[in-house]
Order: sequence, then structure tokens, then C-alpha cells
Amino acid sequence: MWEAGETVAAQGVTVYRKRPGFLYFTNRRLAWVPEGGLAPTVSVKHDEIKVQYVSQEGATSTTLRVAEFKPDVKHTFQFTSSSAIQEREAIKDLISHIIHDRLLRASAGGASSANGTPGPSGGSGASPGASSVMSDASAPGTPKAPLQARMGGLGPAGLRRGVNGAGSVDVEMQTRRALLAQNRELSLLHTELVVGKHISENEFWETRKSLLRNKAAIDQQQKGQSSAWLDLKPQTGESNDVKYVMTPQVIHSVCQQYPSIKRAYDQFVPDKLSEAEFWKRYFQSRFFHRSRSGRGANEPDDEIFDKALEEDEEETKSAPKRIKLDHINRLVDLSTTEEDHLESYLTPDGTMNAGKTKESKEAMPLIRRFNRYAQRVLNSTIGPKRPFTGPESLDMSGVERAIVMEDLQEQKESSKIVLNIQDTRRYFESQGGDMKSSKIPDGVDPEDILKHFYRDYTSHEVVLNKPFVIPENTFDMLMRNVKSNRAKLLPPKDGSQLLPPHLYQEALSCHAAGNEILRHFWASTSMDKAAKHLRMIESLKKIRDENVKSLMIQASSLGTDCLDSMKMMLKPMLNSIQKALKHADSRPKPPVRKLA
Amino acid sequence: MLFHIDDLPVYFPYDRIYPEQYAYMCSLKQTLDAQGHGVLEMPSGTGKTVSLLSLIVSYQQHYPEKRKLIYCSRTVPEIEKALAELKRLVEYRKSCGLNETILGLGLTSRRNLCLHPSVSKEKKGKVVDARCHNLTAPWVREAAQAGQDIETCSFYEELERGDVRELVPDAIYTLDDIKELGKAKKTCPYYMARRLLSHANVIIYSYHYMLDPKIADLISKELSKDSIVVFDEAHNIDNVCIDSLSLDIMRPTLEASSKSIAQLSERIETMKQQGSEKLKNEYEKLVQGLQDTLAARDEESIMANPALPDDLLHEAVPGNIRKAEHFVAFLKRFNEYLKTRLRVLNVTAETPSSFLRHLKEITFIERKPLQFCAERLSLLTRTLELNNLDDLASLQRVAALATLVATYDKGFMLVLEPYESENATVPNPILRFACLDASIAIKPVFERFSSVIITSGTLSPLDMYPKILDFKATVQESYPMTLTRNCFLPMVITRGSDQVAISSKFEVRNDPAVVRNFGNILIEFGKIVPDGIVAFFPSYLYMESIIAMWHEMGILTEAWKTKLIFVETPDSAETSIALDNYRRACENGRGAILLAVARGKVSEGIDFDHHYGRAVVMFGIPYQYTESRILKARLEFLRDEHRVRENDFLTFDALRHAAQCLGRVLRGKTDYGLMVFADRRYARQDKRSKLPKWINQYITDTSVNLSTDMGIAIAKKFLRSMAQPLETQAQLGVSLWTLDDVLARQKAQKEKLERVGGVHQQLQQQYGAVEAQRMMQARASGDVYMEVD
Repeated sequence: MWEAGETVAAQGVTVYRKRPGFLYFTNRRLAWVPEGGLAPTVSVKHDEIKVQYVSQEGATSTTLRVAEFKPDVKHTFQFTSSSAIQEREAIKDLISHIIHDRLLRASAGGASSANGTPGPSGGSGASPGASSVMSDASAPGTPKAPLQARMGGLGPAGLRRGVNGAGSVDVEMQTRRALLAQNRELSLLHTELVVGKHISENEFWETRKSLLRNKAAIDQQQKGQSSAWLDLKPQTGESNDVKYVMTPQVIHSVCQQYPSIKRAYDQFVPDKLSEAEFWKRYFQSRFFHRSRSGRGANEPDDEIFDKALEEDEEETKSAPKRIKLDHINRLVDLSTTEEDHLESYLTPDGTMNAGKTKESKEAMPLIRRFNRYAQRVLNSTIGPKRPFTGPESLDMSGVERAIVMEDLQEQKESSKIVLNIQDTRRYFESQGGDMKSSKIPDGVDPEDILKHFYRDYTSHEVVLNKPFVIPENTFDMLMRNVKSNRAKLLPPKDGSQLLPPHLYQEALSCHAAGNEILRHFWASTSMDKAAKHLRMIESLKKIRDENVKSLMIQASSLGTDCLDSMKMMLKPMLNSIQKALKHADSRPKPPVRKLA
Repeated sequence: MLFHIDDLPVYFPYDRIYPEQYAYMCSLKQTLDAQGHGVLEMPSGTGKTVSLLSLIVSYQQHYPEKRKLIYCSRTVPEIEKALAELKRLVEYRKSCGLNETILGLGLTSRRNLCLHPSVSKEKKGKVVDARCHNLTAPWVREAAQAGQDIETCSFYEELERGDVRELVPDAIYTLDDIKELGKAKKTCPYYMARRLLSHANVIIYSYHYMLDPKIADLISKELSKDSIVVFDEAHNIDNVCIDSLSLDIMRPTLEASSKSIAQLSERIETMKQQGSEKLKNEYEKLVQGLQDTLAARDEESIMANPALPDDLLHEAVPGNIRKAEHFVAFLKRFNEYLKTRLRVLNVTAETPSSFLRHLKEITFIERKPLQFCAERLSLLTRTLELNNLDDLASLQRVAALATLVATYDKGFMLVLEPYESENATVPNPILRFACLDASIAIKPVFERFSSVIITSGTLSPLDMYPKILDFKATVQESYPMTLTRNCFLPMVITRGSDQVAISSKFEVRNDPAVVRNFGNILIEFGKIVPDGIVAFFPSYLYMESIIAMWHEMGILTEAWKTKLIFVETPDSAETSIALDNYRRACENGRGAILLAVARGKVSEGIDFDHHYGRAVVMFGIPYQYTESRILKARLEFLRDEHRVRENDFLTFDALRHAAQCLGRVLRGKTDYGLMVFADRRYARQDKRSKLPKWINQYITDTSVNLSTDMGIAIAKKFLRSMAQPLETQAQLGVSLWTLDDVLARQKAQKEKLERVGGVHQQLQQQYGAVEAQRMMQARASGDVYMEVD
């Protein structure tokens, strides 16, 4: 039933056109064989699959619809076995993978001649593929429920679709585009290399997978709820009307700040009041105005919110009677101290006696509200504090941590990896500097030198009563040394100062491009990447012969200084290119050539 | 490490030591050798407790006298930490191969220790005590043993059955350990701890147990004379002394005590009708009890009680209070007199003697029977076998007032304030009996114990404490801080970015420009400081009004954007929750701001080390409420008695609190933090000079007069450089010594001593042998150390 070399990667029990059968995904095609049949009645080559649709999770049936590039040819398979979803997911993933690959290839444009598939777009550019896929998705004939296309326009949920179908390609394209838009240098390099057709789009991103992953992770990270204290400010319209905008975030904050509102909300919405009605009444209520300005104006009575207000005031008026302190760290439990020493017979003086004056009666509810709001924010993000299971051990470690002074303890040596040198002799010789320079010149007997030194040493007399004169030439020597050292210390003039900015930029991007291609060159040395290798050689030559040359010519027109600094800037790269090309020449010719 | 100071081997449970710690131990030893008192100021967070414990325990174990160590601290968490340090130290000594038995334990109230299934559920200490008393009073137990159906406490009964010493092996018991031990042995941990006190080598408890005569008499009076008493975190000790002898009487107090008096007389009636012998024997008991106390005091086996002076013991109990019913009538008369006094609607201030004169004119009550009041009342309650002592609290307070007012004419003051605050219209009179002289309460301690050490991170100026507590200090030392990198940055912000000067001075403190500038400091620091920020205000009142104003100005909304905000409240349980949440917020995410009060509960004993506090801001100077009449009286007293100028004392008091708040930001030299003084007045020399040496030393000229924006720029730079990893190697030998460094230092010191041997002889000729010895010692410890930095 299968062609030679064809292997089945996944399969599933499906119903197709009301006939039971098996759906196979092989390394070449998607095939459906009716039950009892010998040969596939449906066979779609990988390259013919345009797009796939899957039913929503939780839908009544588990289906997969595959559209071919041939207009209006679609196949719908319904998975019927008990593990329908797993089977469907397996095939879906495989299909999305090939679509993804194709799109990447396609986006690399004509430069990639690896296969002759009719790509959805013939153009070459940064990411034309993505847009065409999108238009396909919304093309007429998109299936309706229960088959719901999981592809759609770009929305906040789009990123999460990364795993589903062709969506991943779409997302990756988005990511690439966003990266290029954010990073100017990267975008320059991209233009230089990809648009300049040195390497393909795919190859360009191949070496930057981490960037893509990073960006995707950043994008996928959900923003937490704001912890800020809500300050509801109305938007004032043209005709002096006041408008409050309630977003989920604002509603969340209101509920966090006023638990009594949350209780009312839970109680009345949506059974007795619509959400909009609820908030409308909230803004008209005394509660709202009191909490905003601290002054209750002459708002009409409102059962719900007056009750909430009452509850709220009751809650914040005084400290809660019963607070469980079991679960808090004992080192911050103030009540143990307070109750340790019984009644001092004293009342604190006026300024320390809180909650007595008129102002403080206003401030205390606010303070309580702050404490509780902050606690709720904490609990909503890191979860409520659970009482310790083993109180002794945990508490003790808290105390321990508070008393032990780490810097007084001998730090344990962090484990280091010992450098293991196989041939130590060679290593130390290489470290010893250039032995040649200290070689004894020919015709001089080492014996003589030693004797000379010995004589010098033994006959040396220290004459302390004569003034010690330093010979003139010593000073000269010193001066020269100092001067040359000084010159070395001075920062050399480099291209950034000498060259005009546009030329400097160009040199930089040329340098970056060259290095990038070098990287690709060295990465493609293995035999199976011979084609790419050849292309890289071409590119290297091109860089050397065209880009660098043109830079040199431009620089030389500005004077020798500029030319020199340009040479200096590009020299390491040119050297590397030279080395690379030399390597390429010395390398056995790729088999392709031999065949030809 | 193990090293010797003179001939004393000191075991220090770390591999390295800070130079401050070494110097501190030297001074400590000197104090102990001289059997004198000491005042030692050591930078906060440099391991004061561990140095103290390791030296004193080494000292105790080395010499045959085995002088007991009584370590008094301020808060229960601090006691807990000290106990953990002690435990660690003793384990270290064991691991060094020392075979010794050390019994050390901590004591706290019943509320924190109780195991009784229902009593321990109570939240209030007072209630726990009263309920415990109802279950364990001798007559209750007698009745239960006699077969009556009365509830007793099984834990206490278990304790009574056995011998405590046999029950408890020698070891170090933290508060938790003692509770666990109680659980295991089914005995009462509280009474177990109390009974062990006389056997223990090291006792750690709150300094109220030593200073408050009501408690000290129960717990500490029998501790042996040669004990070493340490008051740690003692910067506020004078206020504790004063508080423990001061009391306030209000109308509800008198109402309650009237009720108690009525109950007492009823009870006496019923007892009489039952023809009990107890009442008849009562007087003998009183006389006997007083004589026993006198005898014990003469033998110096117990500590004196400031509320029961010696001369009282020599006198006969006056006739008019001998009989129970007479005494109750007497109390009633006194109580009524106080009631009439509270009806007066103008402020009066008088001395105890003028109060007594007036009392005598109106009620013919003499001074002498008043003196006996407290003692007589406690005997009566015992005789009457009263339960629910809680109800008697008010009456006890009245009796305590009677005794104190009749005992001391100097150093006390009575102030009657008819209105609570200046603008109140409904009278709520308070009769304040204020102690002005801090030395009265602590006097028995200094008299009884040969070595009393007063130590803290903030004791400057050092000579203030010997003056106000009236003792002579043998050693008085303040240590600078040696640092390889300046790990804390004190800065004085004197004006906002708009150049308006900021100050918590009364005239300007509510000025919107000042309040806004304070707020901007908070917002700006909130933006740049990672993790936790703690901001202190001079008083609750000011904090409340500022929070209200900030909220209206939208400043807090701005601050909420960068950090969560927690605020201290007067309720300690509520504040504990807020503190716990604050620490959780510091452990996760962007951190939080804690707003607290400089004299409040949070400022005492809560550490804001490491990420729990990267910056501490002190808004304004935490002066006391200067309009308070009691404070005025105290200032007057200080001026007349100790020649301390009013302003000096007020500034001293304010700055020790400020320094205490700011000092909590550091623990160890790898920690770092910002200390922000936000008030114009901190720029003045007279204020700064009263800060501890170790803070002052790092206030530079560039950081002394900053505007907010300049301060922020400096802070940013500081935080960035501090976030770099710290090499321990760089510290070694400078701010961190290994054993070799210690030995080298000692060698150098010895050589120096030998070199100045000649000088010694000279000195001897000049000043005599003893004096010369003292001077040499001073040089040996202090001066040589000073050369370190």
C-alpha cells in the first residue's frame, strides 16, 4: 500500500464521507484508507496541503479538515476512537510542522532553490508568507461551527495559538518582524544579508533561535494585575458629561479594594442586575462618592450600596477582634511582647494615642484599608499564607536565619573545575615567552658569558663615600621607554573619529555582515550542507571583492588617514575571510562537483 | 574560634570576628574583673549579643564562682533570638570538646507559655494570669485535695508532684523548648521556668522582670548577688524605669475599685459569720511577713523593692489598718477622696507632700498607714482567698498609688488633667502620678548586683545614662564601625526639590509644601530602592494626619504604583499581620513600604535587615510631645538634680529614637542600606553630635545638606555600587579578623605595653598604683583598638 521508503508517522481511526477508515500521516503524504481497503482513497502530498483546521477542544466531535492548494478541495476527517483527541493532535502537529517549514522556505524567496514547490508567494522579502496565509484563513468557505477555524486575525490570543496549526508560522513571522522593528542593528544586518541575498531568511534566523525564543517568551508573559491603588478618574467628554470606563482591570481593583462591593457584585450580578446596571448604580451611589472624596454628598438612597457602605465602614472602623497570629513569623509577632508585660499603669501621651482625634478617625479606616488591600494583592499573586505544618522546625529556622551572621563564617570554597593539562611541559614552555629571542648568538661560548658575569659579580665594589652618578644615557633610555609606554597608553585614533559617520556605519555593517557569513560558512563545513557551503564561499568572495573594495575606495578619497583606519577596522575580518577561503580551497571538492 | 583575653579563654562560635566585637569583649571583661558597672555602645547589627554571650559564658565557666548571667532584653522576639544565640554558642562550646553543664532558659508571661487547653486559648495576658491564678491558688488546690469539686490545672499539679531539678536536664531552653519540654512531661512550663531561675546559669527575660517592682518582687528578688546583669537594647531604659513607678488614675479606675472594696467587705462579713480563724491570724502574718523580708534584706539574700522601702519594715503596722474591716474602710475613704479630686476641672500639679497635706486636712488619713497599703492589700486578698484577681486590678492600682505617694516626696509629681486634649470639651480627668527620677526603680539593681552592663546600639552621649540612672560606670565605651566598604549611607535631606525646607517642627509640619515634600521623598525613594522601605514618623498623630493629607494630594496613589503600602496601627495584632505581609512582599516582587512610628511598637525590636529594609527614612525629628506637663516636670527635675539642660535632654531623647529606627537597617557588614534623615534640623551640629559615633562617622559633608533630587542621585549611585558582589578577602584584616589577626593584634598590644612599661612606672609615681593600673588598662583596651581604623 505504501511506496518505497514511505513510513507512517501517525495514524488515527476516522470517518471520512461517512465511511469508517484509517487516516495515516507518512513522511510523504496524508493518506486515508477505508476500512478493509487496500489502497488509500485520499492521498494528499505534504506540499499540497495548504492549511488545516481543527475543531475546538470540547466540541462534540473531533475533526480535522485539510485544504489542498487545488481550489476548493477539502477533506474532513472525524476521529472516532476513544483516544480521538490524541490521535488528532499528533497528526495536526505533524501537519503544522510541514506547513511551517514550507512557509519558512517560501519566505526565503527565490534564493532557496531546494525544492520546486509552488510557494504561496513568489516574492522575496522579510515575511510575505505570513500575510498570504492569513488571507487564506479568512477566505470564503471557511468552515463554520462545529468546525471552527482556530486561525484568525491578530488578537491578544493569537500568541497562545502558537502550537496550533499554521498559527505557529504566523506567530514566528510576527516575532521576527517585531524583533527586526525593535533592533535596528539586527534589521540592518538583515537587510544586508537577506535582502542582499547572501543567505536565506531561514539561515539568518537559524543562528538566532534564542532571540526568537526570548521574544516569544516575553510576548507570552501575561501581565499581572496592577497592584496600584485605584484612582478612578472620569473622562470628561465634550459636552461636560462625565464618563467612567470600566475595564476588567478596574473592576478587579475595585473588588480588591472594597470587599463589600465584591460581595454585592457576586450577589446581584448577573441574576438580579446586569453588569452595566450594577456599575452605573455604583457610580451614582453614596459609597462611590464617599470613598473617592471622603464626603458623602446628597446621593439618593441605594439599598445595595448603602448596605455595602455600612459593611465597609464597620470593617474598617476598628481593629478586628479576633486575629489569628499562629501562622505569622514569631519574630514579627508584636503581641507576644505586649502581653509579656502586664499593664503598665500608664496611658500614652496625646501624640502617641492613636485613633482619638477627629483627623485620626478619618485616617484609621484608610490605614486599615491600605493594609488589607495590600494583603489581598499579595494573596492574589502569591497565594494566601498557609499555616506552617511543622511549627517548630520552620519557626526555628526563621530565628536561626535572623541570628547567624554569614560573613563571620568561613566561606566554603566554591567547587572549581581544575584545569587539567595533559602535556604540562609544552604548556609552560608556551607560557615562557619566545625562547628564540633569548638565544645565545652564534660564536659566543656560553661559558664565557657565565665567566663574565661571575667576574663582574665578584669584583663589584660598593663605594659608599662617593656620590653615585647616573650616566646620561641611562636617563635617555628611561625617557624613551617612558615615552613609548605613554604612547601605547593613549587611545589610538580609530575610525569612529576619523571617518564620516555614514561611512563608519557602512563599515560597521559590512563588518557585521562579513562575520555573519563567516559564521554560516564555518557552520556549513559538514558534507550535507555542501550547497550552502558553496553559496557562502561566493558570498565571502563577494564581500571581499565588492563591499570591502567600495569602502576602501570611498575611504581613500578622504585621505590616507581614513584609508588607514578603514584598513585597520576591516583587517581582522579580511584575514578571517582569507583563512576561510583558504580552507575552502584545501578542502576536498564536494561530491556534487564530482557527480557533475 | 578560641582566643585568650588576658588569661581568659574565649570561645567564639564563628570562624571570624569583627574588630568591634573583639574590643567590646575586652571592655566587657574589664568591667567584670573590676566588679563594676559598664555602659557600652556598639554599632547596630555587628553581633553585639553573640559577643556578649560568648564572653560572659566563657567568663562564667572559667572562674570557680560561676557568676550567674541575667540577660534582660526588650521584646519577646529579641529574647527569643538571644536564647537561640545562646543555644548555638553552647553547642559550639560542646563541639570544641568542653565538658560542662550549663542551664540556660528564658522566661516570658503565662500568655506565651501556657499549655492548659482552654486557658492557653486566651489572647490577653491579663486574662490568662487571672484564670491561671484561679486554678493554681493554694486554697483552690487545698480545696480540690480535700475532695471538693473544683477545677485545677493538671500541668501545675504535675509540677508540684516532682522536683524541678530532676525533671529538667541541664541544657539551653528557648521559649519553644521549654514549652515542648512542658508538653512532653505534662508539666506547666511557666512555673517550671520560674522555679528553675534560681538554679540557672543564664537567664534571659524582659527587663520588666528586673525593673518593675510588682514583677521583680515575685521573680527576681532572690537571684544571687554576684550575678552579672546585662540590659541589652537599653537605650530606653530610663523610660522603662519611670513607667514602672508611674501610674494613672481615671474615673473608671475609681469606680472599679469602689466595687472591689464593696466585694471585700462583703467577703469579710461572710468570713466573720463563718467564724474563720484566718482573719484573726492575719495580723500576725503581716507582721511576720514584714519581719521575714527585713531579715532577708539584712542578710542580703533578696533584692530591695522600691515600693517597700527598708524603713517601712522597721516600723510597726499602724493600728487603724490592722483589722481587715478597718483597712477596707480606710481604703474606701482614700478612694472617695480621689474621686473628689477628679471632680476638679482645672489643671493642678503638686508634689507628693502637698498632696498628703491636703489629704490629711480633708480625711485625716496619715502618711504611715498609706505606706502600708499595697502590702496590706495583697495580704488581705490572700487571706480572703479571692479568685479573679483581674477584677482587683483597679484597687491594687489605688493601693500602689497610696504606698508610693506616701513613700517618696522627691522625684515624683502628681498632675491632674481634667481634659484629655486641649480642644476636648467633655471632661475625662486623669490623675497622673508620675515618676520623674529614673534612678529610683533601678537603684535596687545597682545596689544588689556587682556588675550591671548597659548596652545598646544607640547610647550616645554616653555620660547621660550614669547621670540619669545615678550610678558610677567603671567602663564607658563607644565603638566606631570599621568598614571596608561604606555599607550604609546616612544622608540628611533638608529641603525638597523645590528648595522648600522640610521639618517636622510644630509650626510648619502641616504646611502643604512640607507635607508634599515629605511625600515626594517617599515616592522618589519608592522608585529607586529595591525591596523594602521603612518610613518612620515622629508620632502616631502626625502619621495619621500626614497619611490623610497624602491621600488627598494623590501622593499615596503615586507611591502605590511602585510598592505596596503597609501601615502600623495602634493594635498590635493588626500590626503584626501587616508586618508579616510586608516581609512577604519584600520576599516576592517589587517590595513594599512600611509606614511606622518612631516610638511605636515596630521601632522596637523589629529588624529590617537585608531586603526587609534597603532604606529607612526618618521623617522629622521624633521629639516627645513637649507640651506634656509630665515631661515638663521631668525636664525641670533633670535640670535641678542632674544639671541636664532641657534642650539637651529633649534632643538626646529624640535622636536616640531616630538612631534606633535607622540602625535597624543593618545586620552584618555584608548587608547594606540607606539611612535618610529628612529634616532641616539634622543638618545642625548640635543634633548630629548626639547621634552614635558609628553613624556620625559616616555622615560626610556632601551628604549633610541635600535636596530631594540630590539625595536621590546619591542614593542611586550608592545602591548600584552596593549591589556589586563583595569580596570577603578585601575585608579580612580590616573589618573582619581571623584568628591570626586577633593573635597579631594581641602581640602588638603586648609589645606596646612593654614599651610603655616605663611610662607605667612614671604614672605610678604620679598617681599611685591603683590609678596607674586603671589608666594602663584603659590604654590597653580602648586606645590600642582605636588605632585599628
